[in-house]
Amino acid sequence: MGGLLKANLIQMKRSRAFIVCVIISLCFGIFMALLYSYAWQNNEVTIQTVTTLVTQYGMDTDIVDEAFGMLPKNNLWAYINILLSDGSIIYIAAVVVSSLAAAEYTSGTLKNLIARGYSRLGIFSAKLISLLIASYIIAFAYVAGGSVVGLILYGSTTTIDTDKMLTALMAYICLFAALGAMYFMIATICRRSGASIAVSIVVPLFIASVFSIMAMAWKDITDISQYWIINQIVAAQNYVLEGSAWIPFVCALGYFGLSCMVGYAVFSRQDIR
Amino acid sequence: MEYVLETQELTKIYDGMPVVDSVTLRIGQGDIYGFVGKNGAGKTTFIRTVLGLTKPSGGSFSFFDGMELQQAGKKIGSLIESPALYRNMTARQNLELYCTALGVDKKYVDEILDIIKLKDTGKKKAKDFSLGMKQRLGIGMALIGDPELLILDEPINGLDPMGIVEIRELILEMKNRGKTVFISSHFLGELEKIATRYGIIASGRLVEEISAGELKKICTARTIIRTDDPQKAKRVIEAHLKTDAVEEGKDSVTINMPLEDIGELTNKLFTEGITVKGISNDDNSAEEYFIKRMEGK
Ligand SMILES: Nc1ncnc2c1ncn2[C@@H]1O[C@H](COP(=O)(O)OP(=O)(O)OP(=O)(O)O)[C@@H](O)[C@H]1O
Ligand SMILES: [Mg+2]
Repeated sequence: MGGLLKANLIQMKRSRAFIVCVIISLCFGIFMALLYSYAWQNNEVTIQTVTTLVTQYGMDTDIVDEAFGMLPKNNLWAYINILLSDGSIIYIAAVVVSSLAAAEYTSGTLKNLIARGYSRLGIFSAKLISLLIASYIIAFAYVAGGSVVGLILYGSTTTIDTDKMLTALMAYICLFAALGAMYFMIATICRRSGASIAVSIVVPLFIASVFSIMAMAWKDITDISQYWIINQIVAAQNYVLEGSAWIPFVCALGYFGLSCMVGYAVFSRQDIR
Repeated sequence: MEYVLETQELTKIYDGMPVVDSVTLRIGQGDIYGFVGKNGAGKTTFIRTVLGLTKPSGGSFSFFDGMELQQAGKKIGSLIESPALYRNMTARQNLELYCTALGVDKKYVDEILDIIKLKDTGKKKAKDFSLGMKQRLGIGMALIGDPELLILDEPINGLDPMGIVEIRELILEMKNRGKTVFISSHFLGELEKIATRYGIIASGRLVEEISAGELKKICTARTIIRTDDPQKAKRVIEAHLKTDAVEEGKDSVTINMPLEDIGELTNKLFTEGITVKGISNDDNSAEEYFIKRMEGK
């Protein structure tokens, strides 16, 4: 398995799609940080507008504070948090995981390994680990780009205690592993990079919007929809700040386990060409 | 070692149709086993089944006197249908990566590049290779780890005449080193030059196994006698030789068996008043023999 993992990592390093995605992530992170910084500078205007609206409708202005006050402004942690939770990174991760995983099917190189007696479990595990590493590198590039800009603009002061910061970061790491496993499962089922990129991007979003539309009709759905992985990624930091950090961790574990099980069940029965 | 590959009633069913149908065969060490059959006969499916790429629907197989693929696999090199390559890597990178995956020393990569004549492709990526270059690299991948058993599915597809000779020499050298080669090919003439045994598969069934020696006997034993009256000649020969292995043609008869005394037979025909216009042995008969068997005849 050591050899397999090493070979997978070399393959990743040589993959043009991967390198391009790392660069895009880095640039995208920087761009988003600048954009957020600009938005925050003009935040006062937004808050003012919303407060006026809320008052017009005769509602309590507390909800405005609730909406805007949740995030600590103008510090590095805020950047990391918002970059991780804004969801842009998951599309890039979808592209990377899908193209790396499906490449093995389209080039036919999987058969070279199976025909040499490697167990499918070993091949699957090595691929999964390498894909998780790939998605972490993507996430890291994204966050690093944004953080460096954030650091330059606002310094590293933070209003959140370190414990919570680390917990939230851990939650993201776990959710990312779950997401990576899910994309890998999709690629295993689709076997073609185009198809699996499309499915990886469309289906999770589709499910999220189905949930949100249904939530308008049935209140209970809201409670269910928050456990959908995409919504968990968006809201992970809130759970931590609210003291219910276990929720994203349990969700991550659940999705990870399920994706690995389904993915492997499919892979172990597949006819390899 | 008693055998290198053995299958027992191996069966693969696709969509209700047996594509490999109860194939029982045994390949001994040092054999060059030619696996022949028409398009769609089930050759590739047989190979894919024993190499774990698809699950058998029935029967069993084992390697090297009872080993499962998981233990034996390291000693089996294979090229199945089209060569599987990392498209965005060079020949060397492909071979090295495969060495890494298999945990094999990379020091043989140079030697393999030499054998497959891809040493000077430099920075060219596999995706820009010609058909034959890809095929050569695929064969190179199969050679990694100095396998005891080489399974090659249509290995000379797309190779130039030089390439074909090189692969032939490579296979013969493997044999000299005590290795075993299982080779499926449509190039019967080429196969005839190297194979020690043949398996003929038709509609998934192994219709015949024959050694090169036996094949040679059958084939050189074929004698064609040109005559005016093939009908009568057939009767006379069958009675004289006490056989029914005589075929009647338009202006000839074909005797599909070894003849001990051709002179005696021609005398007999002469005394029966049959004019013999010519006698010949047919060179192409091995090919014809295969084709007949492949058709299930
Ligand atoms: N995955 C599959 N699903 C359905 N049928 C299949 C599948 N794979 C192979 N077959 C069928 O099995 C039969 C044998 O195919 P196979 O590729 O083994 O033939 P072959 O002897 O290698 O032929 P060729 O000489 O053309 O390479 C064909 O009829 C093919 O359509
Ligand atoms: Mg074939």
